[in-house]
Amino acid sequence: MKSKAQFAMSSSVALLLVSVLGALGGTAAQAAGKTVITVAYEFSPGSTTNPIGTFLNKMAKEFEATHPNVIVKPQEIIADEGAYYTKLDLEEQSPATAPNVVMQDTFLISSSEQAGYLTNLTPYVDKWSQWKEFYPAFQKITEYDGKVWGIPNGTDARYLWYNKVLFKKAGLPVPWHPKTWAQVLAAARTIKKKLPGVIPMNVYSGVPMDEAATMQGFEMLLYGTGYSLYDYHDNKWVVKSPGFLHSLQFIQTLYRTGLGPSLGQALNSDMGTVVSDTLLPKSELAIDLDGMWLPGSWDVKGSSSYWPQWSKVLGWTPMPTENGQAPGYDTLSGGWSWAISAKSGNKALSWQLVQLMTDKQNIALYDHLVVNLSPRKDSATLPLYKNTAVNYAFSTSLLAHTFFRPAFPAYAKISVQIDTAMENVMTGQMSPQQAMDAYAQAVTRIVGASHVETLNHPETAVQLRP
Amino acid sequence: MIGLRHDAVPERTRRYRVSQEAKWGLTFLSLPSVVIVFFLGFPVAWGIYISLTNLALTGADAVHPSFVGLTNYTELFTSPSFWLSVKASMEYLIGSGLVGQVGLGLALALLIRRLPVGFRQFLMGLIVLSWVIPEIVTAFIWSSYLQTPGGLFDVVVGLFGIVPQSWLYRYPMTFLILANIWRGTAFSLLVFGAAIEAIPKELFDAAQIDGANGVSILGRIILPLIRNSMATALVLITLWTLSDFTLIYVLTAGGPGYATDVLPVFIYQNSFTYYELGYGTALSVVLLLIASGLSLLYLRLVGRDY
Repeated sequence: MKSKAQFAMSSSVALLLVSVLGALGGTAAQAAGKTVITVAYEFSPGSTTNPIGTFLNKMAKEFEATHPNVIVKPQEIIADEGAYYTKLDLEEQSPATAPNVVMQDTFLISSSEQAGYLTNLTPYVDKWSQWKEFYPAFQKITEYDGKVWGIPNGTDARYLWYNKVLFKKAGLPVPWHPKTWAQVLAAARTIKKKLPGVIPMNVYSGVPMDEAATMQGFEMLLYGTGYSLYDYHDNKWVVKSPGFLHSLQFIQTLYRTGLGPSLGQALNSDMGTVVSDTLLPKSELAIDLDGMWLPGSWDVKGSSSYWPQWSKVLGWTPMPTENGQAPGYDTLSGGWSWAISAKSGNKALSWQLVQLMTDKQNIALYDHLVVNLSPRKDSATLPLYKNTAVNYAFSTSLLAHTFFRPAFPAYAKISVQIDTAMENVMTGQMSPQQAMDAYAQAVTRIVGASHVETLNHPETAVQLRP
Repeated sequence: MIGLRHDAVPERTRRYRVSQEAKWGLTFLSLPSVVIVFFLGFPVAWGIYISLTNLALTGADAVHPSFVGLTNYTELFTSPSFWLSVKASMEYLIGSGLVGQVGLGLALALLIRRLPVGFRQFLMGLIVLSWVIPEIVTAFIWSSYLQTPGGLFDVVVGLFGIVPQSWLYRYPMTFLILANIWRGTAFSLLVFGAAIEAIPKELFDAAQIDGANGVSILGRIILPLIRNSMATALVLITLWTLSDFTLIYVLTAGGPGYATDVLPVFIYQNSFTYYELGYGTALSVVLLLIASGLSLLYLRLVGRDY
């Protein structure tokens, strides 16, 4: 009898617990009869500023003011870049967890679309008068299979940053305009010799830095050799080429001859924050191959990364092509977008919110906060946008010869294989040739043998100009 | 009940008792069996099924995975990185699990029994503390300890004139093994300590009267009598070490390169960094087979009563 009583007791306690937890699961907002629209975005651990959070909070207030029955909830996904994509993919699997609006890196649009995670926005933009204000090239980067899957919110450029104070100390010329890779490495060697204790050069590399290593690192090198990741004529992935090999050799030289950061620093997913918040402001790094958005964390008054002197200390110059081939430099542009989850409800409201976030004024505000370039022609004339950072005009000028990543579904997987090849070389576990062979094998496994090729002539790099 | 014979009373009573016991036995067994089938059997079967597909986390294979037969298995067995991962797992298991935790735990248990009781308990308390600390905390303690520059380890070895360096990148496996020994030895020490304690004192006294030395006492009395505890410790430590993720992921994330890319980290990378869920699941099935194979081997070699 006793055990029966105990059983009854414990099961009723369990039931009670379940129902209480269930009740807690429903938010206060739902109880008040309001609709919640969640907006997922990435916040990397260790960041001292949160410009996207600031932007979304402002958008939430604006939207709620005109939609009294709606609550806009920014959903901060705390993760480094690679884990953000993974967490997002997992969330998007079920209607119970899919956010309404997601901040989506444009290079993942095609793979996310194929996985059924995104809503087709073509019917919406067809009826949206402002869509024509976006540069055609940026309309294209959120397009896949002839349909639009996201509204771009900004684009960017990549180049060399260098510390003018350190350069002068080492007897190097300021301003600095290297014409070839050899000149870049020569400057790094001079820094190493003259200024022990200073890291001569940083190029993001290895798996922990994920897409930053692929794009700011490897592709900035590869596209300067005249080769590309993808052959748009034969529609095949270029898995072996002299350009690929030379790029890995550059990484090898940097990390195996003491010109780069220590492996302990470089193989850490916080490296981006370490570079922008510590190494550059403290003059511990002389040359950095990085994105235009760096000043984003230095211009925020009151944050621990506030560094108003940055434009006096740092200089910037295009990344030269390998041997100075025309046009003399290369850069890559990426960019993010606002997309709507396929599995979430309230699509009409979500679309209204996306429209608000990407109107002329707000896109300028967003790009001002994160230091990106606006994909809208009309935003560029706004004073807020024009007065952003002093590197804006320079960044914009590089877009004339910018490259985009091959936006195919397989790219998400191939990108990580590039990082693996870099890591194999920087740790000395493989020679550049071995790492390229391993890369070729891995990519062949991902896309199949009929979709890969070896190239020996640089003829297929394709530029998409905005 | 129907099959009971009514003429032989003693027989009937015995049988009746047996079937009554069996009934209760089955009742008590049925619930755990359902739980095991539901929470263990089903996921394992599901895992084996997934490992035969090309399910991915993104791209078309995320919605429409296709059945690929044994492709994942043939690919992993011919992939150099899989074997590097197996090698790392074996180094970690032998270094930190078998030699470290089991060997050192046994040695400590033998040494500690000679100490005065009060001091022994104090010492045990300290050692168990390292086991009680959550693994993630242990991992961060070691991470800050080995940090370069400025970590405590650098400061200590600096006293002997050794220059600071990225320890976790120069000797990654060595330091992972040390960290795991530090964390896990307490368990085998507890198991072996209790097993040795349970050996009747008279056996030692008799052995001493017969003139046995320490080695023969260890080989002929202690080891044979703690075999079963040893088998338990071996199996559990092997399973824990083989499936360890947190410590390794925090300290080296499997790197540099493949130096510490033990199977659980390798599985995580393939599934969630490379988005290849089918391939990652095939790796998990292989890990399951390795772990069960090793457990069976120990039980055969060491455990008598299993």
